[in-house]
Amino acid sequence: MKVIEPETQERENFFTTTASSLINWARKGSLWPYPFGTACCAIEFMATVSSHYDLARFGSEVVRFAPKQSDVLMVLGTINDKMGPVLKQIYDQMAEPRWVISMGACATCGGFYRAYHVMQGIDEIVPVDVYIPGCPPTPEAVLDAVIKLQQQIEADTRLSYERHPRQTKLKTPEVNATVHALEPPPRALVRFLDDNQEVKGPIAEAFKRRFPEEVVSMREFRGDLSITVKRENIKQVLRTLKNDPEFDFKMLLDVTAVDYLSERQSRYDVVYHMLSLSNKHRLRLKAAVPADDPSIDTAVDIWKGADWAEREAFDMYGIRFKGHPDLRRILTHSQFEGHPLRKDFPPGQRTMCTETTDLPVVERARKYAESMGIAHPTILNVGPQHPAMHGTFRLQVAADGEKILDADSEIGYLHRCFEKMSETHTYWQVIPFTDRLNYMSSMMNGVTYAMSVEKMFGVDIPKRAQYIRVILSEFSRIADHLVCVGTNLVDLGALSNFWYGFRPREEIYDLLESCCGGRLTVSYVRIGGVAQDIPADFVQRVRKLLETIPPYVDDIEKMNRHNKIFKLRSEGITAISAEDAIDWGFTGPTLRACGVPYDIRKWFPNYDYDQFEFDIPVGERGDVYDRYLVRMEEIRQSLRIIKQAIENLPEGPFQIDDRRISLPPKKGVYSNIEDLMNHFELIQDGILPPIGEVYSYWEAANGELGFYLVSNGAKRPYRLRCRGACFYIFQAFNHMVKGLYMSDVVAALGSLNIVAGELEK
Amino acid sequence: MIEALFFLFAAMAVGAAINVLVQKHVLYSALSLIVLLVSMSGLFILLNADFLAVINVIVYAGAIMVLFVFVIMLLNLPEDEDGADRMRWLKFLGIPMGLFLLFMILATLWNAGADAGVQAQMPGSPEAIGRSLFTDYLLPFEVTSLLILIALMGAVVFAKKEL
Amino acid sequence: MNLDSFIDWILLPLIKIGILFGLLSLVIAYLTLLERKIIAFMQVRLGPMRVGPHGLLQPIADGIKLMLKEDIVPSRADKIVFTLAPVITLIPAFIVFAVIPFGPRSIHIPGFTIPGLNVQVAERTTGFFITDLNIGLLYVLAVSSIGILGIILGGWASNSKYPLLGALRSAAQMVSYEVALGFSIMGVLMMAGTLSLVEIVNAQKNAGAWYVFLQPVGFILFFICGVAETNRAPFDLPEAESELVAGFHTEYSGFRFSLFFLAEYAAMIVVSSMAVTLFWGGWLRPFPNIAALGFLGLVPGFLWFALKVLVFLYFYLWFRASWPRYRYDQLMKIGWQVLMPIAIANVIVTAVLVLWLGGSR
Repeated sequence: MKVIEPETQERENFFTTTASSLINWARKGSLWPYPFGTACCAIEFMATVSSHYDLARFGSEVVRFAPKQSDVLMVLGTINDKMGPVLKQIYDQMAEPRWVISMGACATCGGFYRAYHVMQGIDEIVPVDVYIPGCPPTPEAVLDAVIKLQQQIEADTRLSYERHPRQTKLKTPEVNATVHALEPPPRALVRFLDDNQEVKGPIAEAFKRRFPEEVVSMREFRGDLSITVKRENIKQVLRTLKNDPEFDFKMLLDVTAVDYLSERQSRYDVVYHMLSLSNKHRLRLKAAVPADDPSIDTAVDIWKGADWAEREAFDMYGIRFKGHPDLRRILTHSQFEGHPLRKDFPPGQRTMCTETTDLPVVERARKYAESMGIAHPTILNVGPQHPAMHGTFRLQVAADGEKILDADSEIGYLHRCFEKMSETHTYWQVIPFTDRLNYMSSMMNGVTYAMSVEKMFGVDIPKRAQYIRVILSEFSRIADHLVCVGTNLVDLGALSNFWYGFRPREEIYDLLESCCGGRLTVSYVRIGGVAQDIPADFVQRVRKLLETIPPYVDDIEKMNRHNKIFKLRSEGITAISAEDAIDWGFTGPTLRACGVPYDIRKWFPNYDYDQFEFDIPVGERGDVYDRYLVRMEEIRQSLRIIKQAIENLPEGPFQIDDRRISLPPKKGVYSNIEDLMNHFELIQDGILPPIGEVYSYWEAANGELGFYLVSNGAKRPYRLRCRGACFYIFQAFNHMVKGLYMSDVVAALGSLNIVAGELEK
Repeated sequence: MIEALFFLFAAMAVGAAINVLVQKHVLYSALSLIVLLVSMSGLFILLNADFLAVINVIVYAGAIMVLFVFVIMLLNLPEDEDGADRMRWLKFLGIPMGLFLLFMILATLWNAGADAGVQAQMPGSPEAIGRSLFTDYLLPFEVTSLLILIALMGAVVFAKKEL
Repeated sequence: MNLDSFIDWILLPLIKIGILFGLLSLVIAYLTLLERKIIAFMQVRLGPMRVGPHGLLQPIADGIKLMLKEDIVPSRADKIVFTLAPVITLIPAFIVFAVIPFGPRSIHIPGFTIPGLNVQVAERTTGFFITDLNIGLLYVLAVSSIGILGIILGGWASNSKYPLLGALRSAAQMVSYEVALGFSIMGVLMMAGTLSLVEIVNAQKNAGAWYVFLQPVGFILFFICGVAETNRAPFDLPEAESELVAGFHTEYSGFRFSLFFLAEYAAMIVVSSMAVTLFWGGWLRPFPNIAALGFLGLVPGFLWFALKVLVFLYFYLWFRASWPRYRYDQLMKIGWQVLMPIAIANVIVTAVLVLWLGGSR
């Protein structure tokens, strides 16, 4: 007996170890991911799934959007406080054994968003197995993480897993410094903004004629006309500006506010930017609002597009827009306390979110059902973690079967406080933040931001830098459109287009990488030029790309352009008239699909765009199919522009030779005191633009991307407002999908190309 | 063996039939009805009526019951208790109706004993059924079709108010 | 019961069922790998590579993992129905194979005597199928119509909105396409004059041509309806990933989820097998009556059958990689307003021709 016992013991051990190694082998070879994608990292995850890296090799390409069927929760991108409960719920629904990979700096620790609405690492609420560093990590890093997880599973000796319920911790890091405390604004800013100036020009003169009583002050700075009016009659002024043919400001570009704290009698300015498509004028209208009664009349009944912008101003500054039908918080979560963009709000003061609230549509549907005496329609919650909602948008619909009766959308699941962050960082440091606005074409955000600071200085950058910006931006536009078209088609069920779209995108990444080392978020632009000169083989690379991209585009075209099913699914879906589109503030391909040829590159050309030959594709009906066609054609036109630009690429400096902006040459720094001091000051303080305010804009991939910059002469922007194109497009979404089928929602959302980073800032 | 199978199917059928009546939740009743229909098909097969058995499954279990379940799901009826109260008078109607049904069945069985010769010609084959449907029973068959057509039109009229 | 009938009715079928079940499970498992590989190649990728050489052990790993995964039954689900639903879906998907003829009646088992018992076992011939029902075709339709119930019940029992939507979609879709499917094979029935699948293949041999050449419209209709019946692209609405998350099985995890998965792939094989049997000559070699091509007969019938089935499975995957999916109302419109009238017209034309050309072929 004594002899046998250890033997059986050993055999059992042998058996259990073999069994567990077999099981672990199976588990590690079959890690089905749940892609909890929110931001830039999700795009790099897509790249990991695409042909170049092919996550499928590890058996992990079976992406399951049902948490119960997936094994590894991949958190891709920033998780903010609003998204926290959603992440927690998804994690809780997953079946054991389950693992969590935290991809990127944001998911791991909040990244460089030490901000009032960003969770400082998802391990506040869910346990994490593998962290991937990087912002965003490259696909190689993702593959590495999968392999790491596999090794971890292999070493695991547990046969069964128990559920470990983990409570949400309430951890609110307190950052005491208010922006106000960082540096007080000099009084010169307010004086500059309030001073009246004698302004010439048709709009200014017409305005003076029409509203002599209303005008408080007028100013023209760097070509921007800015008029301050009294707030009491703002509605009448706005209505006239829109409807009077003399002004004809049919498009409201942006509504926002600025906080001057105690520098002024009336603390806030409400700022309207508007554009007239008929006579190509732009106007900034401002109205001062006092701190004790922060309210002003709404403009929603004049421009539909004012809806969300006013809600945002309310959310950020607490300014009440009287008469707004639905003035709720929009970006921050429902439990948030305070108005974060006020200057006395600490940038890092978080409020924990523990709930997800119903949208007004539920109440509306209930009331409607009661009044009609019918059964309550089905309320369906779509998103934010719904495969078609691209991870961050939430739609709540009242549906009758598959038909949508009423809908409401909610955003803010990726609000990472860009505007607050840019007020706490120097001008240079803002560039990486801009990259993460529209991360699908990050180059263009940087260009637009740099343009606003350059406009503030009133300088022109060298031709070579302009051409580099043009070439890389047009490539970014192509990449952006390819992802948009690809994901739109995947949402419709046509899988392969996604992979066909990502291959040329990967080649564009290579080009960007050769210039600056970054793939997705490039940070290549500097104020006054670009970070460094293009590599020696740049021209050859671009020429080669010009040849390799068209076949991929043709592949996608061949599969879809005349595809009967695609046409059935896309023609007439969310068709919108040109008037409505302008009223909502649509720009870019979405507007051009309605037949309005508004393209900043043609209308307000800079950077030699007036010398390039290219056409603006326009659609007729503004439906999903037209948007597809417009995007595909824009890709071809961009290639045309690149071709002309690369042939005429001028020699010369890649940085402006202006000691206020760019660093002195290294040789000078080492040899003379002036350059050394200059270098020191620039590094220490950054650049110090003059006092003023500008609005600069460019045709980004989604439409007009605008930056409204207020500078008080200090090293940080006093206010940087980003006018994201999709913010204005997406607010029309819940109105557009009424009466359509559930499947159409999916088709429509993909075609609008809503990028959460830009939408929610 | 055939006897054993007969009793198996018969027991299943009777059990399922009772379950249809007993179950509170209407979906369970529907499911029991499907079991009932399938075991009926088993009995048909034992009687060499293969065609009938399969058609029974296709039409009743496969199509009609699927629609039943569909409708139940759409309406999502709660487990209804007071429904019984409203239909109380039906209980009194039930007894005479049940007796009448029993009488009819017994009468049929009584008569059936007289000519058992039909079974010899494989009544269950598709050909035999087709032949008798289109010759001997042509009129009832066509009348039934007409009835179904009318019911169909009625349903369309109800469902689609603006035609 | 004597020994011969024991062998005929119990022993042989049991052996065949055993072999078929084993093979089928393997084929289904590897069909998933085939799908991942082929779609990967179409998308310029490699597909699974690391689990076994070229990912050959991938299905096994997936299978083990799914079996050992925690099995969640939502607390507000209808527990009995929730548990039953995957089984109701899977069983019909498998028992359909009972009547599918994979090869001709050509397995000879020589007679022998069991030594010691001195029992004589007669010589017999059997076929590459479990049974040859005289109503085989109807049996297939009947059994597969039961499978729908599992999907509907699974969606309903989950007590969740997306699965319910998926279940409603699939119920409507499968019921409507079943009708057109039934009509699309009427032409074949009229030409063959039998409902037995084995006899239908034999009839194609006698006719000297696969029925796809005589019934091209019928075949196209059948395959379209078949794809729709199996909920595959471009008719994969019930589990449309981008719309309904995972459709009717969103709430299922682990083993139960894999049962739905198996049933779906089994159904794909059934539809492909039926297409081959009814229209592409089953186990027959190409040009079965041309003696000059006799060398093709060296390849056994069941291999021809498997080859043809593979072609259809490939079509399934091809569709999935290429096409967007229809919208719900468009799908119904196509089913009732396009396919049904064509199917009925096809039946009428075939009937007239069959009568005109004199009796069944």
